[in-house]
Amino acid sequence: MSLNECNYITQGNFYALNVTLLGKRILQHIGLNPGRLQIEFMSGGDGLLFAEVVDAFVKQVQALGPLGKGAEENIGSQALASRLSSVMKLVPYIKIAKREKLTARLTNEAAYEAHFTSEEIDSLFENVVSYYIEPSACKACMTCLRRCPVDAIDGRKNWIHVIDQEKCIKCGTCLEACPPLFSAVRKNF
Amino acid sequence: MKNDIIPKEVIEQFSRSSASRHFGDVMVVGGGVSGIQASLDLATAGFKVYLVEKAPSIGGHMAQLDKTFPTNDCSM
Amino acid sequence: MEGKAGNFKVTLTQHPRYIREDKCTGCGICVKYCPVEYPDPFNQAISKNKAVHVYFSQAIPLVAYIDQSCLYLKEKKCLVCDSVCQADAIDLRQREEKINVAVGAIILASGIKPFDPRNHAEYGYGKMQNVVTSMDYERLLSSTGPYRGEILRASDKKHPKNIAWIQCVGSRRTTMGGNSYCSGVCCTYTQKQVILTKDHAPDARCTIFHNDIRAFGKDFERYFQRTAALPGVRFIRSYVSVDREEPENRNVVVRYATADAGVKEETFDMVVLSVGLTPPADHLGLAQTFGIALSDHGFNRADPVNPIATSRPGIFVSGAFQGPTDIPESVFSASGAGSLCGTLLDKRRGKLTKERIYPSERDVAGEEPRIGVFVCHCGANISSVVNVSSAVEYALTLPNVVYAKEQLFSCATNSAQEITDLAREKGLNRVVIAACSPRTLEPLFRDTLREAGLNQYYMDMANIREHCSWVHSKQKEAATEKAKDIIRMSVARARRLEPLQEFDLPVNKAALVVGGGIAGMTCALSIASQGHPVHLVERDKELGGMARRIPTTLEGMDVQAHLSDLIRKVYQHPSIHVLHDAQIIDVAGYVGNFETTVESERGVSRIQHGAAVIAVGADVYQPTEYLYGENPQVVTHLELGERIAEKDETIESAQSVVMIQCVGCRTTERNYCSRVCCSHAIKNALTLKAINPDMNVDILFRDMRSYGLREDYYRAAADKGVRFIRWEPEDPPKVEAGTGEDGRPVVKVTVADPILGQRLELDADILSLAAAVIPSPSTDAIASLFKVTLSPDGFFKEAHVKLKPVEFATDGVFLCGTAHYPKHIQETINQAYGAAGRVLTLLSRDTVVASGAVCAVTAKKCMGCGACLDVCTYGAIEMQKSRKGDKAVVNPVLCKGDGLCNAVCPTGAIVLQHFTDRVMLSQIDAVSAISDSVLQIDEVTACD
Repeated sequence: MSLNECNYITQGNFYALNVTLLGKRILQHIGLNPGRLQIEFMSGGDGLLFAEVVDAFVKQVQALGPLGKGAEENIGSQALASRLSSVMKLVPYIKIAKREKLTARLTNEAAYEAHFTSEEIDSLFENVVSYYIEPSACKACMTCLRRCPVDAIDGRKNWIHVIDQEKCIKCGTCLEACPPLFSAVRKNF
Repeated sequence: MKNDIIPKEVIEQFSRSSASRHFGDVMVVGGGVSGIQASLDLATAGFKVYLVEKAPSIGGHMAQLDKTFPTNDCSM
Repeated sequence: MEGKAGNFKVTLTQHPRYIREDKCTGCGICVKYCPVEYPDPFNQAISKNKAVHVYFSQAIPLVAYIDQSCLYLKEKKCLVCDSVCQADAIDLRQREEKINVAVGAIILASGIKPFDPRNHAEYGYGKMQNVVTSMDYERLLSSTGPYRGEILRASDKKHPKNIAWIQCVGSRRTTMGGNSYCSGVCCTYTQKQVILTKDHAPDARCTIFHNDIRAFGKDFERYFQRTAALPGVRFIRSYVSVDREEPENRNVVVRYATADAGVKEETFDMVVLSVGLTPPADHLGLAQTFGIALSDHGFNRADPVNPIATSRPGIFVSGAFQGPTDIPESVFSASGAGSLCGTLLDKRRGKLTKERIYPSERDVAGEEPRIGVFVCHCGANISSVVNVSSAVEYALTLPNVVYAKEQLFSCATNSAQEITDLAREKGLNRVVIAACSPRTLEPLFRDTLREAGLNQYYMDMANIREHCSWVHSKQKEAATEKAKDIIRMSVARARRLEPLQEFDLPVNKAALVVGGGIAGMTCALSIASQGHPVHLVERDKELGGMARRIPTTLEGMDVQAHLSDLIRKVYQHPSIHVLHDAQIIDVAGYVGNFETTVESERGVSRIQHGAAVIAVGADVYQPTEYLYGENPQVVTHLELGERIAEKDETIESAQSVVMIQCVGCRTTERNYCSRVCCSHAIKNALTLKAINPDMNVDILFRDMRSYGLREDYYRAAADKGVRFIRWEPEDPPKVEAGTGEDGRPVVKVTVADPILGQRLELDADILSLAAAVIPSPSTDAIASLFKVTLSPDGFFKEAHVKLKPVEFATDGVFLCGTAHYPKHIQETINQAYGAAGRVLTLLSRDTVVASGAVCAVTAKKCMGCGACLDVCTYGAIEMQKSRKGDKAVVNPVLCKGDGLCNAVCPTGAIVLQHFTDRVMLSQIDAVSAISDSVLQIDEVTACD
């Protein structure tokens, strides 16, 4: 089945494939079996194929067992919850970092395998950027605060602004917004 | 398919008829896929349409088909 | 009928249904109790039905009728149906009624009748039980058919494993009772039946006996290859005879000729006669009543320049009554007939129609969700598998569900009304319909909500048919549990639905037609004649397109005269503005509101228009094979036609002309059929024979695709001595320059003749090639300017090959002519009127409504990264500067709601309304067993 048979000319199938490949690598990174995530492409007329594919997948997942309890997984539920939630927080950052790769149009198996490597994803998680506001440079002008898409900056007039790292999605808008004269927002690699 | 709604011969004096009277813009004779399409287009474009069909339902032969070529979509 | 165009008076006889239509719910109780069985006409008389029954399960109107075999009607006995009918809908005292209707125009869309082989003993139909017609077979394939979708032999109710199809039954015959024309659809419908048979029974063997496979339509060649590639499928080129029936098992023995092994016999479990199309049942009566002239074959006698017109002004013909044709042509000729009526009756437009007024919408935003759940039986489609009452009981246990009910057919007019009434009565502010797929009836149920004063986006459909009862029919209990799960998910979704507004946009009343050939001009004139300004832009200095190179058609139409007439009318029409030497630079805007920038002889113009029609035509392949371009004696059919018309010396004095078909197409590079070349060859051949009856004319073909009424000309050519020699693609003709016996320069054509079993060498004074019709060079540019799609063969891709043959997925842009696919001039005219008809459905309205389920941006959350812009190929998003930086903004009219922008957005600023993350996640949560991990994650990430 070729991916460009979508009736929408946006051809979202390619994106769906890429984001699934990325998802699998992320699952691997957390320690979950990537076989728990699968994507198949078929048309509305492929009812029989759909039934086969879904039945096979159900068997596969049942064989793997509950989340975290699979053969090579061995992750307790607390640990699992915490790993999953830290990934969830990084999703915006991942989307920004991998923006181009996610819109690539792959054409063959070999390309799929190579598109996102586990080294690449491990490195992505290890080297997450973070943004912080240098207190001495901050003039509390509220520009970055207003621009932050997720309201992650605390502060008011004459109160030094602070970035809440839990909420921050590392989009870099604050860095752009901070007037060059002040340059209070800094990036950590 | 014996139920007939077939236009008949001329009646001599229109005013003498005791039948009910209707006024429309277009009459479409035949409720198969072509008749249905014509009726829908005309109605959307602002005309009052009388669609007459001899069978108890519209649909014509296409309703009897299972799927249509070359997409194998359901005919219904 | 009497009267004239603009003022007809028609008298109808309405036969009684013996049912009160407004009372009948289609419940089927009467059918159960009726004692009379008679052969069901809908199922080709293969199965029996009762005297009272619904014509078929999706009938419109979905009410019963009583057939003349009813005991009461015959003998005044019985009346069981009346006693069991709960709705008091039976009324056996109904009488025939005469109804007079006064109209301005009439369209005869009377269709066809399948050929009946009963009176042709040679087929054995009616005598041999296992010989069926293709229409019978179609009913066997259907799940609503006599055996519920099992293909069974009538003799022993077993599955046939070895089936033969016999082509051209009733068609291409000059014997008594047959029709000399080709019905055009049978080759491809047989392939369809073979593909479906293999779906039903993968090990079935299917054999198709044919004489030419006429796969001339769009995507037909690939369909043919797909069928031929299936295991166990054989195409055997031979006429056959149905010899006898084997008495012990009623298998059918068929005899056929082979090229090398003489006559063979084979036995089949079932034989399907691929019957052709004949004029409608009462065509003579219709012709007489409406005073129109018929052709010798019994179809409408077509005006060569307008296949939709009849001999009587004001009366038009659409669909197969024009001549045997398939569904797309029936659909666009219908739109075309509509357009012609529109031209005739333009002054009356809108006077008799009423605008639909909906009750005003109630604002329920502040209310707690009050959900009503309606579970449909769908006759027995759902209820035979899913326990509907227990689903209703279950629905009532769900939070926020305040009302639940089962219905027999929720879509039936009275049931939909019931939903509306109950929604008001019980103060519902959300409705869940557990029934079929939203693809079928979502608009209907949204309408139902509007009638109740609720925003239509508060409705959700739980698909317990396609997703449940239809696919789990053998697991009733599990299916019932699954139906409950699906309903639970739908209810969870309904809770979170938001009201959405559709947008009413003004419509600019002008149209832009791109391309000034026959298609473009015909379409432009039709649109302009209905009161709309048309801008016609033509690439060349002159109007006319490819038709300028075509002197006549096969049927003898004087193309140049018609062209001159069209061109004159176009220039003289006050509402048509023509630009020559034109190139389209840019197209902006959306349906109803386009702005196109054109550079032409007049400089740069910016044209505002509401609709656009693409009629850019097609081009001719320049062959590189068969010495074309190297040898002056080798020409294309197009060039040959021109030379004949110019009375070229070389033609007049030629002793021998050879034609080679399928040059440049039906190859791996161009895997399609150019459709017109076989007829084109025959046309030239007949003309040549008229010039010099002694001229040798040889046509080297792969399949002669002189489909439809063109078959008669094929026969005429053969009668006049034109020789037809078939070649296989593995062994194409070979061509080299040489000298004839008398010393004159000739082109020597060598071809293997399968009938004689030898290679022939033909000396040709002229070698004419059927060069393929290829997409116009401007196709790619036009496609990207108008944001429309192309098919794999490079022609424009319409929204739906069968049901939307003249429009695109992109709203407001239409298509006609050879830009769509190679076609004959008559077909182009039909389609051009069709496109005009569809354009009028848009331009005749003052507003166009854009869907509410489109994307929207929460500006606060937008970080201006532009990822959404990059992925939207509809151009629906633009970046606007604001005080808070760049923000994405969606144009709701252009947005198609595919949601890719939603997926790429890092912050979730852009959402697809009606399918937000919130709503989708609530559905997922509703179906999954919520484990601790998930709950914890939800808390932490505050996914609301």
